Amino acid sequence: MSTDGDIDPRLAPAIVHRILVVEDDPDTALFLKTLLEREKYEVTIAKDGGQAHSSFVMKKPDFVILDLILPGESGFEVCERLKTVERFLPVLILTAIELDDSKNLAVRVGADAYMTKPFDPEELLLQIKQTAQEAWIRSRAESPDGDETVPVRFACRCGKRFKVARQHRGKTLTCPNCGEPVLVPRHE
Amino acid sequence: MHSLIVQTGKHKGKKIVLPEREVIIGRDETSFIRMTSSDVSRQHCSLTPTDKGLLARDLGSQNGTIVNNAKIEAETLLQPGDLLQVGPILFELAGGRPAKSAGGLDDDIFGWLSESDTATEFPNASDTTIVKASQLTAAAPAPEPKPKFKSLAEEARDIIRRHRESLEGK
Repeated sequence: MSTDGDIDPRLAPAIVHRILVVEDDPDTALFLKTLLEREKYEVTIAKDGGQAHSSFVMKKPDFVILDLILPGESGFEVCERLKTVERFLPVLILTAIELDDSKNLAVRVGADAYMTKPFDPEELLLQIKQTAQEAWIRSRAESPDGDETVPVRFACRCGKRFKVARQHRGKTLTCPNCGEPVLVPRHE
Repeated sequence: MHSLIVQTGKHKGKKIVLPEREVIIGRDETSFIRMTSSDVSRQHCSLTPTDKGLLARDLGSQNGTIVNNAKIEAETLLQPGDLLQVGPILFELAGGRPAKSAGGLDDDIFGWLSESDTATEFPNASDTTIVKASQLTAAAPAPEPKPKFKSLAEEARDIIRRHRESLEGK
């Protein structure tokens, strides 16, 4: 990678090699591919959720840049599915949506970073490195070697509190109090 | 009270209980049964309960309203067992008799379709969504309540819709 020379060697596993870009706009996709390949990343483009999941299986990316408005399945759902399979895979949302609800939902589905378009290319490159490092550090903290016996604590919107085993993170349960679905958060 | 049973797609067998008033099926936000498919017009057709059955009326839709495999040209009375097709979705009128497809009927689903006053989702292979509108009986537009969502897909669609509306407002 371009900055391998000055990176903390302890963070070497956090270095990104293969980036999956999920973007349906061809111009934006081409721009991102050109930008990222210039930085020596190996880039795969997916135009929708289906291609994203296929590429995820075949290419094994170590970083995902994900648009939210996609044909068919939205980026939120794509993120949730990717995180269900590989919860420490860093996912950076790159979208034109500036709504707070969108940012909140992105966090709830496990996204690691959120950037809005139009974006500064240099800021994106920096964000990729930071996000990857943070995700790797978090994966170390929450890896199976960590304390998996500590339950996840969270609350429904109605106020009902839950305490469930960590293995259920990312799953949805029905709140016995209000009957609404509640997502077991992926992160504390 | 009349009921429609979804006959196609992933949610085949699910039941939608209709209120004792005219309802609209279409892409429009205020539709009682809302579909996002581009094959469905904003106000595609209306269903009105009468003493003799459920009256279906096409509202000038682009692709027509189909009853028992025939495009309807005028108001058409549906009887239990009749098939109603709107865009990619086929419904059967269950009406006042046990539903023929009761094998696929889910009591829980029946419960939330009939009791819930919030949006309800039915994604299928063609990305069509059916939701219950929440404020059809209101005479005047009331402030939009904080929506409750039945699924991530539904919440995502709401966010994207609001984003697009915010762009149109600029």
